[in-house]
Amino acid sequence: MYLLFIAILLGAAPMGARELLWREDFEQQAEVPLMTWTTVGGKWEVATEGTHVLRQSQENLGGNAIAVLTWRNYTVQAAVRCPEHARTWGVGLVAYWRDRKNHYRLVQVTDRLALLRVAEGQVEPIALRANPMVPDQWAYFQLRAETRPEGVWVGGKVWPLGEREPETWLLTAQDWDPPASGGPAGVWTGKAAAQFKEFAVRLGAPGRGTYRAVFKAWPGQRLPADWWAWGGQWKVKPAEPTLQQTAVRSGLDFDGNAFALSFGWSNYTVQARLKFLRGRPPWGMGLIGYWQGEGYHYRLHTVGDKLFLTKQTGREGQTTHLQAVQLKLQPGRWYVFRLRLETRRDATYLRGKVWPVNQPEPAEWTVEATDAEVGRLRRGSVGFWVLKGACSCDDLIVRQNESP
Amino acid sequence: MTLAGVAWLGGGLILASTLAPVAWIGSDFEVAGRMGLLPAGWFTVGGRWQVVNVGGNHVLQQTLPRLYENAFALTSWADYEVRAEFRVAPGADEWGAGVVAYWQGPEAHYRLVAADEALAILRVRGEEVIPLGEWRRPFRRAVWYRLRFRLENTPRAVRLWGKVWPADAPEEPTLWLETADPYEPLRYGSAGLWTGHCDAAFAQFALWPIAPAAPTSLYEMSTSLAKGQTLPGWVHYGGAWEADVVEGRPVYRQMCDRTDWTFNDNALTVVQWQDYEVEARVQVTHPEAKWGVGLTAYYSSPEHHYRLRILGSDVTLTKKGGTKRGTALAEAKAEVAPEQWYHLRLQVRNRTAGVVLRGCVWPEGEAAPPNWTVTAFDADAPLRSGLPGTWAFGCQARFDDFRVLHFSPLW
Repeated sequence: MYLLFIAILLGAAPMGARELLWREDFEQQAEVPLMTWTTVGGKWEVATEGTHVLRQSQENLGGNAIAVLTWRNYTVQAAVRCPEHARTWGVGLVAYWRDRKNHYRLVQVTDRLALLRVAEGQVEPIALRANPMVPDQWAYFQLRAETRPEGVWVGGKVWPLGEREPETWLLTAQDWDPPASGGPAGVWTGKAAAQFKEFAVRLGAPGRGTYRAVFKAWPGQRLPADWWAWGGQWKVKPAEPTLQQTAVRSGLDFDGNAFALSFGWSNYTVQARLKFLRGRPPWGMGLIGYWQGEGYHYRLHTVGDKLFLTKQTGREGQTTHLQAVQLKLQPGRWYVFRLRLETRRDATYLRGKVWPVNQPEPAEWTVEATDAEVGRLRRGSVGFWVLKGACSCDDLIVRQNESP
Repeated sequence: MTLAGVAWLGGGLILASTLAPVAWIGSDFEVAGRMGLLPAGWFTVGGRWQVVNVGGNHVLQQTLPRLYENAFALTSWADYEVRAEFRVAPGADEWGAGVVAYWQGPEAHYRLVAADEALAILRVRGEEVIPLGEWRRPFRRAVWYRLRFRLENTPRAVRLWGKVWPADAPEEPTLWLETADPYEPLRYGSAGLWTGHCDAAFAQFALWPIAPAAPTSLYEMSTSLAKGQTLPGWVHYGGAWEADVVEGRPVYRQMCDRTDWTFNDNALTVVQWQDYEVEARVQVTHPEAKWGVGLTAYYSSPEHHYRLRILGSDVTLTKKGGTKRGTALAEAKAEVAPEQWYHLRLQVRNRTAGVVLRGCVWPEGEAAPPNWTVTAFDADAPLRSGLPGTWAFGCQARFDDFRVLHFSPLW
């Protein structure tokens, strides 16, 4: 287990030996609908079926619809120091990462502190102040992003390690045209060798949950399995423990940016109840795992009379069926879907099972597959997938696997 | 065809003038056709395009029956060599300067890079910059260098050669950095200039075909710009590019050597295709109930281009400007019958307020008409550059003697 997620969510107590990462029964979502869900296609809403459920209600849905659990409304914080750098240098934090060309950053660039809006590759300071900083001394950076009806609000502050956290934000900005409405958090360097420690993401309101990164990598790996890097030379220094970016020169690409992003979860099992309501054949429904944005994910799902383990790479759907077995589900009936994802050094291992609610869980996995391709997925979020019809979803639970 | 040296201007007057279009590129499809290939630099979108032998003559044909979608065959530059001279201004930080080739966009092209510590050939693919070849060797600021970057398509790969040497020293004939890209290589595209984190001046930029004894260059950068002007027909990505004079030489210069908020120190400028005339012979075969043929210009995608369109008895200049339906800019009547050969000609000229388009069609064996069949002026968010090509719908159209002529004073 490489990340600890201290979940005190919705009053749920951990069950069993495996750590609870997330539980969602949509009861409180009724008041703030879909606050942490990103949807693609269809019409998603919190509906009442005795209890509250998440429902894709468009019965004449032509293709598929997706709802994915998304990091949103959070505060990311880390301690940073920069022992070596170029003449112009920068370090900072990233929030609401959609991709390299779309996100927010809190950055110290030489002697200035700025909130940056990165939209379609255009980098724009939306708040800025002079802020002399001793680069090789530890300082806390804190960045908050909130999705509001009028757009995204961001705030940032920086203070030296050992000193008291400022009570107010040093920089704030309201973005009416946000490049993303949610997404993972991470760290950034610009032409600077830097160290990061005590990385944490506080989700939602205070007390709802905190994600803390434990910087520990497998032997021979430079990053924890649930982190992803672009540019620079990143590695974990376990003794301290810190995440380090060691490259100062940009190399022949002349791009001085280096990012490391936490995609939150890997090596987990996701489970939920799903019930197909009405639609037209061939309809389908299922669970998503290792969602990485832009359509990349694994999926345990039914279509027609088959149960599939599928990999999708890209929004337009380069879809690979990794495994399929015969299984026909009935509309109007609740089923439990369980998908286990395990990232190992050689491959990503997938296992799935589906059974009717109120019937005993099958002892064996119904479908299993291994993805050893170069482009295999190693980390990411969870969600629901529906094809050609209306479907209700409820009681999502994500638990960390036992150590691989 | 006897078009070279003849300009078709304003409403049909035939003038011999300094604005005469100059033969640029073209193909009669014979050489490549004998190998069963499309000529180098051609690519297709939709349909099934092949070079076929029709009675001993090779033509480009859309061969897919029951074609109910737009099918395009486009052409760009391929199999060429970029030559240039450059000088990097004095300074203290790391730097790089060079050229790009087979440009298909900011995230798809090849680069020849001379940096303070290395010479490299790079492939840019998406967000990745992949070194295909690299020599560790120093280059200095404030020295004029010459460079050559040569790209050749082979069936399995694109082969790339690069060299950079001091301009005051003789060229070493065999000292090439040589590499190949066999993995889904880029096979065509434009070319341009590149800098990394430095103020650099470029002169003598030109594209030459690699065919032995090629008589003329494909393109030569203008040296007649006034100081402070930007090159017409070039698109810029980052940096601050303008004409200047450095050490008495007219140059195109990128002056920004500071890292900004982007922390991306790349600056590029690339030649775009504009101000040209495209012509070809066409024959419609196997027509469906509704069929069309034509020529395209300023093509950047199926949703963005101009087209001279023959649809039944209608000749239309149309524009696809990103909307689902195209816009008819001008229409006229012309009888075009299947199985007969016709000449098509489409001209696009940029003006400050918009783009002038002219088109005409006439039967083979007859003299070209004195007037353009259709003319139009597009002032509503006009397209400004893009590739020439052919278009077919609902038929197995054949094209031959495809030529592009450009208007040299604008280059």
